Amino acid sequence: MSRYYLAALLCCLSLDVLAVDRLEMDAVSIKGNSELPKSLYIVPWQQAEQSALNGQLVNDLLESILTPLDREEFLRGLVSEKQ
Amino acid sequence: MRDANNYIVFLLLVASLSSTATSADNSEQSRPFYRHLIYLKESGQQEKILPTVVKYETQGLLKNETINARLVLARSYQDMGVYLKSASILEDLIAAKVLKGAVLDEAFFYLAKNYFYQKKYADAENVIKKTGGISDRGLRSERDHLFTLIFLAQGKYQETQDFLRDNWRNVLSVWGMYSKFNLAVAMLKSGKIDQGMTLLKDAGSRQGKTLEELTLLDKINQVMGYLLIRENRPDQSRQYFEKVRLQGGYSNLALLGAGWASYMLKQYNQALVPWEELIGRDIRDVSVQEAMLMVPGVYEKIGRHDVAAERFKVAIDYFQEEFDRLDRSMALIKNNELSAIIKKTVYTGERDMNVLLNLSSPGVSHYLRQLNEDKGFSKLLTDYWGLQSLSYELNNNLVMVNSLEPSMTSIKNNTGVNVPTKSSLIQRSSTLKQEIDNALELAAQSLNQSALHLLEARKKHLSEYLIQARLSLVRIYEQLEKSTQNG
Repeated sequence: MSRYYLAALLCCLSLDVLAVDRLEMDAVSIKGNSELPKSLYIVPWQQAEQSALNGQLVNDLLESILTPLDREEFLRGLVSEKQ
Repeated sequence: MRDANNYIVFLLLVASLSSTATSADNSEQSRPFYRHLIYLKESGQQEKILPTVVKYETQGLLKNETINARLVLARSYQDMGVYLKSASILEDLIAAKVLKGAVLDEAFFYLAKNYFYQKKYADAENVIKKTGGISDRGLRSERDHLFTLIFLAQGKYQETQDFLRDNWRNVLSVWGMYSKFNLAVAMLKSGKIDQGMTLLKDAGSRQGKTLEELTLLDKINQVMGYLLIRENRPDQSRQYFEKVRLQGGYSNLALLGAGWASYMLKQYNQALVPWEELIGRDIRDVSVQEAMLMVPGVYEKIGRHDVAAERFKVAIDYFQEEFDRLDRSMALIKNNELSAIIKKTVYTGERDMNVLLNLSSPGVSHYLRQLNEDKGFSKLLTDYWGLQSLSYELNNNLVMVNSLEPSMTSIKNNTGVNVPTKSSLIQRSSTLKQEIDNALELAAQSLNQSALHLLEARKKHLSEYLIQARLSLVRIYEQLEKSTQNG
């Protein structure tokens, strides 16, 4: 008999769990003061670095000067330099 | 061109075969004429060699020296940039199997050189490998030098290293310097940075006596300096830049590099010394332009914003002026003014940069010297002048044929040798002249294109400097304004 009571009790408990309460919520709306000026200040936390000037020649130069030397060409360059 | 050449080779074969019986006598007789050709070659009168060889051959004066005369002619063509013609003479001489021993080696060497300048590197390598043990030390050094250039041009860095490691100790001193430099280039390009730099350091440590050696040392030290900058060792690089002579052709880039070395070490005041020296030089030089941009940059770094602003303004004005000048010069060159001026040099007879500068309008002459510093442009110009001289001499040759006619008839009557007729000679000379004139037109167009390409590159560089300078000036004005507000 006690087994029937236990089964009936368990059925009642499970029905309690299944019954979900519903909560109706409105959408959140935040209102600012439209009379204040619309501006944004970003405060730097450190001094901005000076943008680096690029030494283009230093970067590009090595490839162009690291070429084999042809003596004939080199001597021709010396002659035109003298002129 | 090939037919005319075969005809001449046939003539020289007949001459050499018919002369064998009386070779001793003929050799004595022909030597003065051959020596005259050598004299023309050594005294730089290349353009006179072709008409002279034609004249001597026609009159049967070269006899035993005919083959040597053809070799001289091939070398002259090569010196004047007429590579196809020169190669064709050498190929025919080699194919005719009339050359032996040292003379054959010499022909292989010049043919390889010819192919190299035509950028036919694989052919050049095949031919140069055929040169045997050249006994003349100077020529052997030149051959070994060419060997490395051919390997390097094909990107065969390991082969270059293997070849030079075995041979560079044998070459004459000045050639040895070139070999060491080229070996270092091969090593650096194949990633052996430390070995390459050790070799360069060694090459740069010797004492130079001649202008060539001193300039070569400048070049080596300049490369060393920039290599060390790339390796982020500015402290060491400065000593190499300081070795470069201040009056030499490499001094501008060395001054720029010395400034960069100090700048990288944050020794800003020291960076100003070489850069301030540099900006007093010719503004057309790109390294001077870079210094003009960097000097105000240094003043900004050390907090002298007022000076920096002033110097940036000066730089912007200079850059803008230079930019406009480049535009004007390019417009003139597009109008063929450069080629028109170069063509005029035929009337002056003298062909060097000063003559060209005198003939040019300021718009063109302004950049001529700078253009000529480019090895491609300079080679094109030299070749153009070589062709121009040849065309001029061939014109004279056409006139000369008339006066040669009696001698030709007399040779034919006395010796029975089948001397070319007046009309065949005129036809040959006219064909040659037409070919040379076509080549001249092509060379003039190439010169124009090359000049435009070089000036366009300068303009691009300058526009980048101009943008950087303007942005820097805006930034400095903002800083000055801020400090005024704060003050």
